[in-house]
Amino acid sequence: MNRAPALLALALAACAAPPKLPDAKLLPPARLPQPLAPVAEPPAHPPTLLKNATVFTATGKVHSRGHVLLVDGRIAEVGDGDGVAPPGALVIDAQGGFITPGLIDTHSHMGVYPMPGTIAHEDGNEMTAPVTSHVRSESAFWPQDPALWRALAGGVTTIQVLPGSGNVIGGRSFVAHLAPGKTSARAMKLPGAPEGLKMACGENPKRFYGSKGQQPMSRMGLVATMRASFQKAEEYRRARLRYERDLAAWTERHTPKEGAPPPPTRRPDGMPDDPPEPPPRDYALETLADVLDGKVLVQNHCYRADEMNQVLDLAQEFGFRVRSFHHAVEAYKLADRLAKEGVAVSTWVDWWGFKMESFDGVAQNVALLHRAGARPVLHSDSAIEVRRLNQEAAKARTAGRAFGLDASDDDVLRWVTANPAWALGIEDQLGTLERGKRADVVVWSAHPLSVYALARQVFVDGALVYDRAKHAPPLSDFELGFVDGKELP
Amino acid sequence: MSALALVVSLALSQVAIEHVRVEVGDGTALDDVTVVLSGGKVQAVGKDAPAPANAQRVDGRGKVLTPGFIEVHSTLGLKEVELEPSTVDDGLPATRPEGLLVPGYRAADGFNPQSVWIPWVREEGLTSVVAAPVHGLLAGTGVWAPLTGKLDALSDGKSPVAMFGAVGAGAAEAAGGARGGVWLRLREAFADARAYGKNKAAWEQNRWRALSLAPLHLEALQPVVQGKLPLVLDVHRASDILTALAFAKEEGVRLVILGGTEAYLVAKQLAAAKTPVVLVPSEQVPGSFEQLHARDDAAALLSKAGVPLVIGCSDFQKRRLRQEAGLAVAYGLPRNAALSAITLGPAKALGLDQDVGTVAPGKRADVVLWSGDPLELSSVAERVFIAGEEQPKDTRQRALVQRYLMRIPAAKPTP
Repeated sequence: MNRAPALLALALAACAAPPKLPDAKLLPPARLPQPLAPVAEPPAHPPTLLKNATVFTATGKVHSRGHVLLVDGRIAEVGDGDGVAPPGALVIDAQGGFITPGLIDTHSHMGVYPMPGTIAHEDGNEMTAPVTSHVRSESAFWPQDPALWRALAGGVTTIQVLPGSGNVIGGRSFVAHLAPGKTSARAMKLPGAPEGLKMACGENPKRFYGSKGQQPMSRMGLVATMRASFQKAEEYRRARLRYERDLAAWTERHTPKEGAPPPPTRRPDGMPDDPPEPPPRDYALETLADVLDGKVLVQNHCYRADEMNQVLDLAQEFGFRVRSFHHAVEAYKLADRLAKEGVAVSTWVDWWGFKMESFDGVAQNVALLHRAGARPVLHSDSAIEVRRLNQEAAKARTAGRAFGLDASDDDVLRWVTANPAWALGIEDQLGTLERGKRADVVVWSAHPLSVYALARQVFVDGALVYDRAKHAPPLSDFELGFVDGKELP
Repeated sequence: MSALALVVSLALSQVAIEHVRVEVGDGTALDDVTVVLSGGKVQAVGKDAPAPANAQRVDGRGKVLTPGFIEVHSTLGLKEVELEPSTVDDGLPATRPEGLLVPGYRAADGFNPQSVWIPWVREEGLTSVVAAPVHGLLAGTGVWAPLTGKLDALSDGKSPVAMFGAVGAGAAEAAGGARGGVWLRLREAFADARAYGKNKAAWEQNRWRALSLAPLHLEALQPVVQGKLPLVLDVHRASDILTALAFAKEEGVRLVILGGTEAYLVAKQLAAAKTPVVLVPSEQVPGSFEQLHARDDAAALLSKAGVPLVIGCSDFQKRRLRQEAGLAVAYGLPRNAALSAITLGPAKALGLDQDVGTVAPGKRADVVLWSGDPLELSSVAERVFIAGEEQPKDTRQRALVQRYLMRIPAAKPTP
């Protein structure tokens, strides 16, 4: 230890006369690029008055002869009677027809599995690993999918575009607003809509990865995959919290204060006071951490009651919420829990039995959930079924009536309007006809719960985007030139 | 069944449905009539039809009686859980060499009348289906099966009722990758069937050339090449339909088009050949390159052109037949034509119209009493009769709902 006095002397000398280091040139805080915000450009349209119709608002209020006024992309007025058209307004006499909010489908693969089905366009499942929470459906979305515009003609104005269910955690979804004429997903992305996370229970991931000898081969492996993913996400989230805290402190330190000397650029040890380094960017864990923070909504493909219970338990374990189960044909077996925990259920009426996990599906699922006070939603998962969500709602009601379970017309319509809006976290913007909401409105040729009803006119953000009476060229570029009216018999 | 039991059963099955509107199935309707079902048949239909003294009387006021609906291409009874191969008997997969041309395959051999799907489909007014194999260029023959759900259901059925096959893109892939391959194999099979038919003895004595198919298959093709048994071909593209029509003419075959998305483009030719088209109205979308010219009003266009129209539903949606018919009406098909397209239309297309398809004296008493418009989503089948026997309403789904209904407390009404 004979060197100790010398070191001590050096330290004392440093104290006595600190070396005069020049100001450090500090690094800027790390860049964490974020996808660009949606392009919020509602189409221009004249003020539009829709009158002489039964107006279902999906709020519980029905105007048996009412009107809706659309101004600047928003609903300006809903009420009884024919209303008053502002100067220059387009006036549409619904001739005793019916008006509803634009329908919303919580479960679509349009744009990522487009029509016509081709190998080249299969873009909905990144089945290279069971957890791909870093991928985004919007990256693959093809706005020219002809199915999109057929859905619009079915009165559907908003869809959630989900990755498929091949993976346990399939990736981020986005909410698309079906305004035609756009050439990017970003231009169709609904501003203000949270993104979703597609998760899948059961047979699909198990079948695919099991057949390759990979986890998950069983439901055990599947839940373990979910648990391990959220544990890693929790650790990532913690590292992110620490970084955010340290960055906030650094920013505070380096914000010039009036009247005070400029903040020192060096730490007491003489090193430059650079901003903290963020944890290495991991887009997959970032998505899951966003779920833990409640910023990304969980949209979970899950059929069986026991599996939904498993996921709800897991969610509680890690402190996140499931926004909606999808398919969920056994939701009626845990209707009370779903109601109590505020989980929406996106399901069908008469799809069941095509695989074991769908074997206990009943047509009364929706009616039973409605009875329990849960939020049932009729979804499609199909580019064909999406065109008739209103009919599916009607069938769900008829099925319930056989057991004395009924609902009003307006409540039934909520299953394809207000409830899906809630399931997607866009209930403040869409789903009902209320002053101030986006003006997505459908005029129907007959009662929308009738098999004979077709959407006559469809408005998105106040603009008339579909009119059955007008023969217009197809909205999809893909279909141009194929359909030749002269060929018709 | 003993003679005594038979008598009792027939006596019990006498039913008089009174003051009912009858949508006959042939496009006509009768208001406020009485329909008498007796001995498994429709005995009488009319204002003054006498109700037998011991008949069960049913008040039909405000209700509609239709023939039971008929689906002509179904996997009902052949497939329980699609993704569980051990429960699937809808034909030999065409991906295997032995599955490509198997006209001797009989759906009837694998038909399970106790399928859990049958009561569920019957709940929507279907009283019989043609259960058909679905794979391959020639998949085999279908069986017409009443949906009683009883083990002896087929004792009352008919097999074979049609030969089923496919000639579109899927078939082309199975046949080696090209459409020409499909027709090559079909022509070969039909030529061999004719040759075998004429030279069975020589073949038996090993004095005849090799044949492309085994004798059981060639036997099964005999009624097809003789124009007695319909050949139902799954095909969508207009040009493929024209090829099929030419083949049918050349071979003297009774053709039925299944799928037929672009059939409306060749409606004139189909009408001239009196070739029926089985169409699923909800599926008129450009789902594949063979369907690029899909139109929602295809059913209406075909009907207008005089093509015998049959409405079907997709295999995945086994009980949506009446919804499909209603949808066709929304897209312009006259309502009576839509109802015919799920009753008399399918019966005629497959030669079953002597027995079923209309509510008329002498026909089988396969009838359904509806709470209202049978095509409307709010209506329900209140009573379903098959051969005059009222069918139970129990389904597996109803049992599940009963079990859980009481466990779900009703939510408090929202203020």
